[in-house]
Amino acid sequence: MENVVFLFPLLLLPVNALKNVLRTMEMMDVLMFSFCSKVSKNHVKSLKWKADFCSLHLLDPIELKISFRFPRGYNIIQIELTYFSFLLRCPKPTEVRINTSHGATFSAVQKDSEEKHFYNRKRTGGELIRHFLDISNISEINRSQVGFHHDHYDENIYYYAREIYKGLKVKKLLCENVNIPDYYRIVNLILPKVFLHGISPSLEISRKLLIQNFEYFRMEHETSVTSLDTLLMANCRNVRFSCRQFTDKDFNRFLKLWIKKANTQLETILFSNSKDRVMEDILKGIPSRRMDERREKIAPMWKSVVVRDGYVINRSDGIEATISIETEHNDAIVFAVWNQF
Amino acid sequence: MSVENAPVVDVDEAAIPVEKKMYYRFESNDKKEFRVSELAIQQSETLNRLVEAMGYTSEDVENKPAIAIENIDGKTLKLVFQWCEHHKGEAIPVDDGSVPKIVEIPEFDAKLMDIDNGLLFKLIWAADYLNIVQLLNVSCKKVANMAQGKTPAQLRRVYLLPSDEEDEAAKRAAQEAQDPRAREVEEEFEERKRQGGNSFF
Repeated sequence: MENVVFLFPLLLLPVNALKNVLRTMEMMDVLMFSFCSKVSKNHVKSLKWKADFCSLHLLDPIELKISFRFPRGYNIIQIELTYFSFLLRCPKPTEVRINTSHGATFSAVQKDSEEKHFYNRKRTGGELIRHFLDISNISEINRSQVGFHHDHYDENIYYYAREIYKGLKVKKLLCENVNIPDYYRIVNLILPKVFLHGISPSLEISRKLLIQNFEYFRMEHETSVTSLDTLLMANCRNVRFSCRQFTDKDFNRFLKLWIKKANTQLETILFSNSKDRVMEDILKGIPSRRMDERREKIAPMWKSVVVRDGYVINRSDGIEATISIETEHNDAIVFAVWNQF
Repeated sequence: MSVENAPVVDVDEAAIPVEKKMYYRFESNDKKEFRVSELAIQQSETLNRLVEAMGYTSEDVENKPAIAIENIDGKTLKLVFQWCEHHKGEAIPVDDGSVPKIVEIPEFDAKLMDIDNGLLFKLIWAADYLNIVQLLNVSCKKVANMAQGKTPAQLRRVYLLPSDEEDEAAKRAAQEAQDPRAREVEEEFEERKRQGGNSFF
């Protein structure tokens, strides 16, 4: 027997009451309501949900996660898009899986969840993602990850990335296990503020990435290829990378060039994998003095960089910088510019 | 309708202190009269302010005409006052901004709202107009429960939501009805576009 359907003219309610109906609905039902029409979507948007974190991962499947923090706990929406026709360049994901969950604490969130699974023929992946971001009032994705590593995705991944990331702002991008020809084009397409690089690209790609104007750039895979020339080309403000190939002489050359105003935009560099360095060789021929105080700097993506027992050098225009070996960062060499002094 | 014949709402008199026992008289738009206790009135911000502003004494309540509530009918107002009497003295809930808003429908409220959707619709309008926070919460929750587990297509049906195409058509029709020349301008614009001429902008 068909279920009895009760009809109710929801949109004819006073605005306050309509908002109250939507606010008392379960989150999954509100999401379904937002897909009814443009008007219903705008009503959901007017609830002014404010997400506290959002991540978008270009993995297999593509995954969007939005979390909300409310006085009574956490709510999380998770959307998975699966393209069965990946090779066919069809921008519409065949399957859409939506999961909503809540819990009093972040770790308890998964205990109470609801899931819906749809076959999609109407909307592209980008349209679906922008819909969810729009109703959650998200203007910037906090974290995105690109991690395809299946050979057969290589040819079309840029096509999908272009459709998905169109018009989106991404704060932090993490690339892992990516080995595709369009890799650099994808990074260039997303243009995050912060770029974390978990693989070892060629020297050519390293250079192309370092000349981007990232707020923070990290490339410290053990086999990452970098050179002093590459570093001198960098336009990023805060850099953390492996310097296994760097000699003390290279560091010395870098400091001398910095004094002559090379890399003026640089604020902090953390050279990892830099054990057994000899500070006397690094500072050879450079006027410097021993730091007499402890200095702390808040750099993006680091909790803070504490510089102590280092050496102070001065640029030709008087700007100070310190170079030190930090045991807290696994004997990394930290070069910090103190523009405020 | 005379006061004697008015559908007086049951009152738990033991719960009300003798010195505060005061009833107000209200009249619906279809001339049905109700006597409602002072404590029950406090559930409605609108009515509470109204009676405060009027400064009625016990004598005034009996001698002056009942306070008219123009836009609510007797059937709906009866439900409203029954709810207010049952929940009199209860604290008015404060919204903590949680999503979803946690609202539980008590057994009494569920029975009271065991009504057709037309009357439920009027009840929500009345709760909103009279600013009865908890009645609005529970009645809205009842409507929200209709959405449980439904797909967008089913929700469109349940909530009578027009599709985007229907919205567009209605908008166009409304524009045309407002200005009969709009159609002519639209046609002229389309004609110019066909001829490859410049648009109006």
